[in-house]
Amino acid sequence: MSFWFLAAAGSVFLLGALAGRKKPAAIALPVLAAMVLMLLLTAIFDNLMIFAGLFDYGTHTLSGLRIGLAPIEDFAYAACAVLLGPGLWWLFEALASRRKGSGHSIPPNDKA
Amino acid sequence: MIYLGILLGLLGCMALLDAKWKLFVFRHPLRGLMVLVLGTGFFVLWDVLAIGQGIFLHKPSELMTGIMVGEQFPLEEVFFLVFLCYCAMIAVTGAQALIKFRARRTRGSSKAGEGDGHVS
Repeated sequence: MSFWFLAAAGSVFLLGALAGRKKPAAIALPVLAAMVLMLLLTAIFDNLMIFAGLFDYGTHTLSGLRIGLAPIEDFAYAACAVLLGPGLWWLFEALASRRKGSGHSIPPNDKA
Repeated sequence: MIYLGILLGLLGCMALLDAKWKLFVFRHPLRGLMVLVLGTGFFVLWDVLAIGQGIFLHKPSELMTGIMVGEQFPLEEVFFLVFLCYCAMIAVTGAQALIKFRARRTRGSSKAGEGDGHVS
């Protein structure tokens, strides 16, 4: 199931990047940096939370791979957040700028 | 209660970072809130499906309020998911701002007489 949600988040990310005409070189570094940070935070806090006894897992659908106490599947949440959020953000940005220039030949020089 | 308090505190920290550097919700409030609502909805759906498969097991804990919004779905999880989305967006937009800031500074200090150095 993690796969389908990752695929959905990845698709939104790609759609947003395309709709917002983002240059790969411009978004690769910040997204990658955020991804590393979020995965690192997940590794630390997931372990702490499971250790504190906040929740547990029915293991029958998990792969069994764990980093410390954290099942590898939990990292999909962090990865998806870094893909889905910016994807939606860029999509809305593209929609807003399209609506602003709705005639798309009218120059936006009617300020003030 | 302690866990919910920590989550609310962290959300507050994110909002402060956001407000200070106008990164996300403080840059485009409507757009930012839409991203948070849709993002949180995405993860709630994921949680609900995972709970349906019996993956997540809520454990009664002294650290939690005990308020449940659904079966195996504690109130705290909603705030965690909002925080997850907010934190990810602050990480990405913050990294972008930092990269832009550093580029501008190195360009500014490399040579003022380069011609293209002083873009406002």
